[in-house]
Amino acid sequence: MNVHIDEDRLMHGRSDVRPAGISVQLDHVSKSFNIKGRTLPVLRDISLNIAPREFVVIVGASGCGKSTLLRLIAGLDKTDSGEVKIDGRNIEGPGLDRGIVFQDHRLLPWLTAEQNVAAALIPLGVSKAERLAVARRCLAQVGLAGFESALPAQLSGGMAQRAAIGRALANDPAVLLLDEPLGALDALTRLKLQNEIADLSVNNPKTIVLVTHDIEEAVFFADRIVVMDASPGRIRKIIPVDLPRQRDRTGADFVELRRQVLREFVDDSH
Amino acid sequence: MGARRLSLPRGIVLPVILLAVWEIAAHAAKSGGVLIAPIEQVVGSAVAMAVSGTLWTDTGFTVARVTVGFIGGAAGGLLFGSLIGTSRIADRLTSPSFHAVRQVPLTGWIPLAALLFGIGEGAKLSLIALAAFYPVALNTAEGLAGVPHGYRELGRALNFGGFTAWWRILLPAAAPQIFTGLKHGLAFAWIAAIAAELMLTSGSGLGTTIESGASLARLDIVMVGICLIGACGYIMAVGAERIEARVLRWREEGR
Repeated sequence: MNVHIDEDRLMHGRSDVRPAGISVQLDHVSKSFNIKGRTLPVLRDISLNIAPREFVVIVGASGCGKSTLLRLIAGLDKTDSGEVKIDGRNIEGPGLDRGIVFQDHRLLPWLTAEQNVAAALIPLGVSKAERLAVARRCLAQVGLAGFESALPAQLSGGMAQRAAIGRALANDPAVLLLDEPLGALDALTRLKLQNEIADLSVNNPKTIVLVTHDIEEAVFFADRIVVMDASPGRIRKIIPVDLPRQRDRTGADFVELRRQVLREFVDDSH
Repeated sequence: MGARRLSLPRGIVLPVILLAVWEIAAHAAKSGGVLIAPIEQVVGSAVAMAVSGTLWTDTGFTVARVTVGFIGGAAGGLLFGSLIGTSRIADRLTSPSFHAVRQVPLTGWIPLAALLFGIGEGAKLSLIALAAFYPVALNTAEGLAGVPHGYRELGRALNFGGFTAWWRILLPAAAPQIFTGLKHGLAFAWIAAIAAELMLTSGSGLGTTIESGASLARLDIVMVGICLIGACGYIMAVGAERIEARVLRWREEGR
């Protein structure tokens, strides 16, 4: 991966005539769950401003509430207190301005790949032919051209997750939410998809929030890494990543930064 | 898997044996004074009924009744099952009554149906519809309640409204169990049709055929009716399995 080419692509991606992107704002957000009558605090007083087209990666041990945080932004859960704002407005549930990819691909097993992607366009009220045309374009974008009429069961894990990403991109949301999207994939497939997601984020820049427990993945993607503490989930540290896009995983800067983030977790166990 | 169970070659052995036993018994019984119509006499009556046309009209009437009654009952079951399978309030309000009323066997409703609708088509169709309604409603409700939480969440994440989520996600996800309900419903509708025709004797129908054959002590006619009922029921069951296998083809791919 050559840095000069990457900078060019970055320039081209940003110089497109596109809407300016959308910000995400978390304002003193707290959330707890009731489990058998006991209150379990999951998130405490989280405040975070995510700039338009920023790629923010949230890392933390399991149980730190990072997935819950993403679900609050998606509008799938409600905050106990505090506010979640998209483009300055309080959210009221899920919206077409946000697309989400879950850890399990969650494709509907009775629909083909293109029907699954096309399903995301149903709320837009466009014709079926148009939905399928967009779906085919999205599948091509995630490298699944030729697999339009495959059922999810006929796809490998990586391919199914690509289709799920295609579905999240189908209505071109300004905000893309990724909940450990590569967590269930084997290491090589994960590397490949990481590169492709990085490409997508350059070619079609969106505000992206990705949740992961993979530190290398965080350093690979993030403009800023949000490190979280567990029980209750709080933001421990925010680490800016000033590396060019299309990062070289073996570069000295990359390795140093990965070590720095890793230290946040290793020191913890002393 | 269902289609295999219904496949012919090896399955033909038992009927052949039974027919042989029947034939031997019929001839043996003649000397004993017991009335069993031998196969040739039954076949002869069937041919005569086919030539006169009563065989076709009787079969046609029963099949038509089952079709109309089943469609009505299954549609109602699908809607009611969807209601109690998706709305907790509707479930709490109606479930106790539904399960209590369900305990009344179908034949228990026949006198009431006769009083309400007379012995004509209204009574028969409502009994058939009722028979199809229960299993479809029950399986639809259970199927919908058992749809994985992740699929419901996906519906919300994709901004689907209530109807779109029901039509595009919940119903297809519950389809395997709904089909179980539809198959049971069809079988019960068939049983209900024969029972209704036997007890509310008016017009044509296979139940009426049996009933009038019995009153004339014509065992051959009774046997023709029974064989036709069995054959039609079998064809319907096989047809339902075929349709199910086609609609649920996606389930096979993952195996």
